Amino acid sequence: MSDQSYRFPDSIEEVKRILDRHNDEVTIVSGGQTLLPLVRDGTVELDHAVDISRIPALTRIERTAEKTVIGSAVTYRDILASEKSDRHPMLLEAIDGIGDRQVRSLGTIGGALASGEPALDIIPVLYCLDATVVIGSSDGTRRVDVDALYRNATKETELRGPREDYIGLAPVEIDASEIIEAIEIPAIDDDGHHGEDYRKQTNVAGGWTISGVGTSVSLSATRDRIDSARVGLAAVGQTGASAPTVETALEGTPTTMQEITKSVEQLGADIEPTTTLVTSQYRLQVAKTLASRSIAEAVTRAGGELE
Amino acid sequence: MTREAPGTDSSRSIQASRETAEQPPSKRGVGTATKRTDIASKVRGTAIYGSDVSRPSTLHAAVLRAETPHGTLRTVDTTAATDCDGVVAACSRSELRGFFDDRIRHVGDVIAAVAATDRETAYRALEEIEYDVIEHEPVFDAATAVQAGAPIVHENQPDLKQHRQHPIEVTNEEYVNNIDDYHAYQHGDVDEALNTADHVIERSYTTPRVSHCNLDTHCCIASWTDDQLHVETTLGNITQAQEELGDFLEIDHDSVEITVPPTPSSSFGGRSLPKFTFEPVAASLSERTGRPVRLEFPRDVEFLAGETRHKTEWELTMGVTDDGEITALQTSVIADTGGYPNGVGHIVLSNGRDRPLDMYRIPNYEYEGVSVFTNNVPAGEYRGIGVTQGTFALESHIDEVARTVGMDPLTFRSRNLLEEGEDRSNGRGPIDTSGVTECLERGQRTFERITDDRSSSSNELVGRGVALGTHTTGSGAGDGRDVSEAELTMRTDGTVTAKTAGVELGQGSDTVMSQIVAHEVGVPPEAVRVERFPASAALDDSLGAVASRSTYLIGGAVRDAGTQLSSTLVDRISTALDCSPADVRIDDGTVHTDRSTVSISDLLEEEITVVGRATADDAPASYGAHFAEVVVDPGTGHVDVRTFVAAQDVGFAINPKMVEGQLEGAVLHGVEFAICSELRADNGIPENSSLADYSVASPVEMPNQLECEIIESAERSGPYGAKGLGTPSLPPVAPAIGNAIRDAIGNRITNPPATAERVFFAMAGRDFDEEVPVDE
Ligand SMILES: Cc1cc2nc3c(=O)[nH]c(=O)nc-3n(C[C@H](O)[C@H](O)[C@H](O)COP(=O)(O)OP(=O)(O)OC[C@H]3O[C@@H](n4cnc5c(N)ncnc54)[C@H](O)[C@@H]3O)c2cc1C
Repeated sequence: MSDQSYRFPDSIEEVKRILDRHNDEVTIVSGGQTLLPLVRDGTVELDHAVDISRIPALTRIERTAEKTVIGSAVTYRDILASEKSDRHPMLLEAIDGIGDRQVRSLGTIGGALASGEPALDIIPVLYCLDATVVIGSSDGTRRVDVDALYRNATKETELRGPREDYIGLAPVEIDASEIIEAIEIPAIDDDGHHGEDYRKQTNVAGGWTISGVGTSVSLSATRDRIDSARVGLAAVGQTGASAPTVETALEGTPTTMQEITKSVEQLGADIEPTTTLVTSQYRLQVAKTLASRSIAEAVTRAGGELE
Repeated sequence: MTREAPGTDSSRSIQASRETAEQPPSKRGVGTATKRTDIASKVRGTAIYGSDVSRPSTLHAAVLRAETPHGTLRTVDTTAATDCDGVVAACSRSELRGFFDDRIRHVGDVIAAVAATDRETAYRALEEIEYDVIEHEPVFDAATAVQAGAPIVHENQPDLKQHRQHPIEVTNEEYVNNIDDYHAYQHGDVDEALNTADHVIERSYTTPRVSHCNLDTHCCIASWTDDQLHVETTLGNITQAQEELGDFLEIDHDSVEITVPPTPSSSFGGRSLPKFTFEPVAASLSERTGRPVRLEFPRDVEFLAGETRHKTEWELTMGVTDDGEITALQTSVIADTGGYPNGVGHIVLSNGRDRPLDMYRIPNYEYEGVSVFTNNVPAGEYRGIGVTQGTFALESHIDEVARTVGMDPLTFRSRNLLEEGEDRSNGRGPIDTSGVTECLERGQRTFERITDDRSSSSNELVGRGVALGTHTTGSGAGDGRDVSEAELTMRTDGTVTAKTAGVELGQGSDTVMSQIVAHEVGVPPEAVRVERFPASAALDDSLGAVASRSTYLIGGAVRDAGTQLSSTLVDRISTALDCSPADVRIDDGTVHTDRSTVSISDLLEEEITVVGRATADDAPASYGAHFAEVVVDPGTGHVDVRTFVAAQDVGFAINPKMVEGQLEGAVLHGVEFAICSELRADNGIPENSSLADYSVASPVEMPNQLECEIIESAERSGPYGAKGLGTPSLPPVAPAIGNAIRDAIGNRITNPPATAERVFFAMAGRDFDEEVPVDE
């Protein structure tokens, strides 16, 4: 390879071939919203770029009866604009609040997942929606749950060449030879008992998320009990996080504000809030407030009556 | 990061209303919402700002900046940097021209600088510079720095304009080290008055270090022609800047010429005066290389080496009677100047001292203020120097005092207001025009009308607050030393060129000047071209575009020139048409007499040039009464400023639309000060020196409903009755919001910004199972 290159491959196969041969030298560029500021301030040297933003197979949204498949290079704006995603209100709620128009127009869902910053809004949402990430390499394709990308990853996880220099924001279990191809969101059995919500707090509009909470719930046939719940969190820990203790506590409880508050009180067991921009005490308090409200709203949207 | 205003938010409304006390001047120029002269280029993006300018054969500079706050440079080796391809010069700090010594005084201070053929090369060469610094114990707390035994920031008190402003005599024995400036003052007998007061209320307030965050980052191009230094950059106070640069570089004041780029940047004080690590560095590199040198600040350096609003700590003790009469006020303030002076410690302190006395009757008064060098990033001018901080403290305190006495804060204020014609308590003569009572009355009426039918839900806390504010127009000296001149030339085609000392910093001064000329002479505003006169011109001006003096003083000079131009023109025309001057009427560029209608260009055979002059014999105070309604989310502490009314006495609104713009801008700045921004530092190292981490207010943080009430008190000394607006409109905003938050949550945030976190933990009656975190 020459000293520097910037390529626009035509297909996923071509990307995989390049990664296979040069994975420790090349960097995937999708929307560049995470990457380019790091390049500009000198944190990252971008000598060989593989720009995937023009690959048709990666910029499509497809919807079938079973699932919605979003190509990894689909921008936030295109997700918002796509009527197809109206089945997932929390996805739209989260995306609508991301950064500013420029970030939404260029930033992509795959770029977000691959950078794994804990403050990203999309990760808890995809967790709540039980999404699967499709990851490919010249060796084939694997499918993993969203939270599995981060759950087992530790600082020691081996990261792909050029990225380990700078990602460090959050470890992500994707190999240097791999590319995220798509995100699959299963269709929700629309029996009218499902509800979801996403909300967050920032210091100023467009600022970093201080705390973000997403919820999806499934209510009993009589809609007065929570059958199952997923609670996903943004910006509260080292990686995108879930709240298993709260989820378990919610299961089978009556849909009362009192029960919701009681379950949320256990949130502290699930997270270790960081101290960026605000104190960890405050972050936890806000996460609790938002969680109560988010769960309550999801229950209401599922047709439950809150007492 | 900012985000576009929600365009779909139909509940947002901004309204301005104006009731003119007296008959407005005719509508031919002043008093109308004339379209801004610069609007098209700014909206279309064709305006050329400082950082857009490029000049032939220019070198690009990069500066190696200190990462430690305090130390002495032992060695700086620039050999390897000099050897880099493309590098033309690399200088260590001590090789730079002027007052640079070997001492590092704040993070971001200069260690060395490089000039190269392109910016990337210059930055890369910085990595080749090796240096060795002996670290000294730093000091970051101004109250500590001023005490005996504190580390000394300046071994030799630097004489950088600051101390020429007034003799300093420090009468406080505890104030020993690092004194940048000091003021003490008293009248009456404060101790006695406090002893006999029915209530004595004592409180402390602090205000944060904040950055201007001008959109256009600092950029200058320095070049030399023989012994003459030329610097192209946005500077509002050009005359003083030339003197300061001359002093700093040890060259004649006359050897420095500053010009502004085609479109100057915004200032808000951030572009009033030079900065040590900016223009002098570019000038030194240019001298050394013999070529023009361009130095531009990256965004993070804006926070380190631009300027910040002085962080201040106030202690206020007020004595009042049972029926709400102020009997005494004792104030002490400590201001953090940072590593270098900027000549305005004096202004911070004198505004802190004098402004309360422009507003209230305070028979017994004691004031002490000190500004102190520390190893923090430098402070400097920022919209409402000292008065923004002081008004926050005073108006917050008055709110507390009124609550203690059990009086409505508005009634309490009214009871103690100085009236028009009444002498100030410090003996500095009477208040001339004060629209403050009208501001209060009209502001309150509007505020009640729009907040009247508000219901609040159980999970929100609603609070309302009011604050007053005042600031003088112009430099504040008011002793005839502040002057400005303007030259008008009418060409034979009927167009006029106005040469003034104004700098169009976005405040709209070029538009106002063109309106004044249009009004006086009878030409359309579009026929008037406004230019800045060069420093070499034989025209006089003291301070340029600072201190809300543009419309008042420069406008006064333009008006004086306009009346002269008008009478000369009428004379010429009456001679040409052989009629009496009284029969000549000029309107919209057309000459009307009983007999004929012709255009000016048909009659004028030779151009006319006149010079006008205005002198500030006064420094009239402008007043504002601002009202805020906030909604606090008890679950997060988030504050939403829902409603705001800014009632402001502007003397006379030469351009009501732009007055409204200034008021809206003040509200945005005030909201930012009240609830958003703070440059936090850990051991002198700014923690949030990027726009991703430093919160600035965007339209989203603006009140959902904002009404501007323009009050016109017809100031005798200003053109058409106008007085200052830019500065005076800011101070009341933040305390009005702070008082509303106090009303909502039952506790006062004495240390803005009232971020959601601070508000959350300050909420009255909160019961935490965890300890409330310590907020530094
Ligand atoms: C000003 C600003 C404000 C923001 N505000 C928010 C906010 O409020 N909420 C929020 O959630 N986020 C916010 N973000 C972050 C934004 O969501 C991410 O930057 C963006 O989604 C990243 O996607 P991208 O396509 O730009 O990734 P890129 O920058 O192109 O890539 C990021 C990383 O992922 C790798 N990568 C990209 N695509 C793939 C792929 N398909 N397979 C494998 N690796 C890949 C790249 O090599 C790189 O390492 C903000 C960003 C900015 C700049």
